[in-house]
Amino acid sequence: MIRLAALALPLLVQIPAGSYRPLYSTAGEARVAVATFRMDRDYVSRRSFAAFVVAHPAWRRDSVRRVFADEGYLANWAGPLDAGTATSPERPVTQVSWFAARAYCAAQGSRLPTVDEWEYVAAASATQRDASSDPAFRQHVLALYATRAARAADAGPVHERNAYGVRDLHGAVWEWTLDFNSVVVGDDSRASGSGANARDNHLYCASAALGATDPSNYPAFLRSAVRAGLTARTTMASLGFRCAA
Amino acid sequence: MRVFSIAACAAGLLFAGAPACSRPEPAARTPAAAAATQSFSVYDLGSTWRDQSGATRSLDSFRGRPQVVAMIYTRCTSTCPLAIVELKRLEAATDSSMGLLLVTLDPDADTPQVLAQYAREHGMTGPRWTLLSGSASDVRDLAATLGIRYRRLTPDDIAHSNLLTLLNAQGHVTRQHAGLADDGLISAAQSLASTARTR
Repeated sequence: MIRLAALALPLLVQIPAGSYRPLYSTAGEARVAVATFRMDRDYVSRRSFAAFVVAHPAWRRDSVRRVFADEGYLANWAGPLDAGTATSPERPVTQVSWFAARAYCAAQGSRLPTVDEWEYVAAASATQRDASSDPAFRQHVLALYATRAARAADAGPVHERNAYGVRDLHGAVWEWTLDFNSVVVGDDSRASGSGANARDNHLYCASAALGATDPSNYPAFLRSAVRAGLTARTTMASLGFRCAA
Repeated sequence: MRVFSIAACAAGLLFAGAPACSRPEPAARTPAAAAATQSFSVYDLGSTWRDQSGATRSLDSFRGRPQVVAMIYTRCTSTCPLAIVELKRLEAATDSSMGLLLVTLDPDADTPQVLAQYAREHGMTGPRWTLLSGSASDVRDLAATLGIRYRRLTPDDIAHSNLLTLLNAQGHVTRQHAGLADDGLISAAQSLASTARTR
């Protein structure tokens, strides 16, 4: 069982204000402004989440309300308070719902990052703050996504720091965002009034104003696709989080 | 949706546990109804709201009566009026044992007073109708729980799922439907109402 030592405060990285090009935007709005904020340097670890659960028993897997997490919640732990010895306690906590992630951040006096904040920081390579249009960076991110499972089985994480000083945004797990349930539209719904596009317009108020800004940004499409499959109760073995403030 | 679908399936193929292909969420993409009753109660969210009369309402206070739920905002001029039409069809197809619940996605603008005016203008009066406004956080919690997606595009414009949800008397989601109410949704609502009457 992981020993629940007193936790060091998470290291928050100051993120300067700026803008980024979101995957989806409204017509005429190519970039979205992001105000300055702070983001955890690292993902939340199993060790840290175990300490949270001890302090907040309502979030134990055997007492959590089912509206707040599906049946997979912390199911990969050896026991309700035992994050397990098989996996390094410094690995990212996974199998946590959006509600649980949000409660954890609130207990630290912080919150989940928004999609815009997360994507803004995630556009940074090791050397450039906005490398989202760099084919080599995109390829690198895709390679990280494709090899996560294999690397997770290795002895320890290889931390990858981006130009802001934030680590492992791409290399470890998918991460929850505060507004994961924002509307996404998969292609330009203005293009057609029939077939699938007609159905989309039917489902969404104002969806005709949304379109993909850069269909070649495949890593961003992947992240968007993963978010689109989530509800607030969902837990996955490949989904963790970090906090922001 | 071709690009989206390809990306979703690629995510599912590349990464074990990714839900995009193997566990599609009905609210996210699929107009088809979700027929299986969920194991959780929406009322366990425990949040507190204000109704169109200005009274405080806990979600828990809706226990005991099945509800049809839609999330809208009053300045919406495209799909929200359609949702109202569908709710009124459901009102006509069921009796007073079925409640009709509208929750705003724009609580800053849709105060209880605005909701009361909206209810009067659209003939949504009487004890079966409840229109709720709450905190932005509680709105997001409820939307995220029901699988409703939304995003503010302009100060007056919110893109959102047009989804009708049937809750049984305990607050379990028994069915969801995107778009216009079909015969299946109406008969499911009638069945729920009938069950509520016999208890």
